[in-house]
Amino acid sequence: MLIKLLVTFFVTFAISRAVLRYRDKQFGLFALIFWTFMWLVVVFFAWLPKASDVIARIIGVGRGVDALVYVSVVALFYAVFRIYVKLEFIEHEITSLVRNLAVKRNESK
Amino acid sequence: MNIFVVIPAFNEASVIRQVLQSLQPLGHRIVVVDDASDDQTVAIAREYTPDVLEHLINRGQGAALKTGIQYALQQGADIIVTYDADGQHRVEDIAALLAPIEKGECEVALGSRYLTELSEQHVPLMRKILHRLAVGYTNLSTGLQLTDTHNGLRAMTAKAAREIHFQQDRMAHASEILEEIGRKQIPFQEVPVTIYYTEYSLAKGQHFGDFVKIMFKILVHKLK
Repeated sequence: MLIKLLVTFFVTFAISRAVLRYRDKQFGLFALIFWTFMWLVVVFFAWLPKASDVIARIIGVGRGVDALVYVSVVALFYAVFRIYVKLEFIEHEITSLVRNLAVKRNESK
Repeated sequence: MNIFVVIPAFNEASVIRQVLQSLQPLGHRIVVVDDASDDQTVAIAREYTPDVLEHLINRGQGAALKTGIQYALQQGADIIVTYDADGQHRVEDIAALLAPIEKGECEVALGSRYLTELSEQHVPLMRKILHRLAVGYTNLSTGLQLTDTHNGLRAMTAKAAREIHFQQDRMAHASEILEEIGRKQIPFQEVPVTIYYTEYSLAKGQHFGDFVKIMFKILVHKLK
């Protein structure tokens, strides 16, 4: 029971953060809907863990909770990869900026 | 013919004077790209060439090289030579690299320490193992038959420089340049060059950790 309450409390906090980001225009409407949906899925499985057995049967894993853990690990790996790629992109943008500044500063001397 | 020598430099104050002094008699235009050194590298470089570009923050050797190549192309370079700032290259080898390009035999000339007996004898064992691994990997991934991969001494025509698009800011750029040569089938030749291994250049050079990082960067670059 305690875990259900803790998860619900944390998810409420997470969704409130997403709403705040949306209000500050750091998030678009799609991002708000996506994250709210994801967090609601978490609450759903916290309160009705048996529902995850359906997923377990589909992907061929014994227990629903195990299936959730596997899916989460894969999703996290993918998220880390995406963040890494995004970071690389930002690094390249910074390099490009530094490069253009270096050339321009030399020209103006 | 406009020949530019591009030298990426990071904290090379103790050796760069000697490097620039040795290059000056060749009469080529020298471009030093300082990668945010916090020593006297820029001040010393300015004594020898007006073409000193300064990165405001450190972006890595690959990034500095690309800055220099881009600048050289803007300035009308016909041939661009890339040269390390740590004093490990021999100035005489530049002429050897330029010869096949000037004769029209190739678009890119790559320095190889493993085609020179003298140099081979002086390559430290750990370095040799790393190079063998890198060469094996690069030959597999590019389909080229190379004897050396991470050699900073190379020459290319302006046409080749425009065709070679490398993205890696740090050490992995050397592999990327070769992959581009392979992918775009740019005519190249390997030319024997000698590398001077000093305590200074060894400390500055690549280590096993760098090799692992380079492989990881290349892998991620391919996956994304």
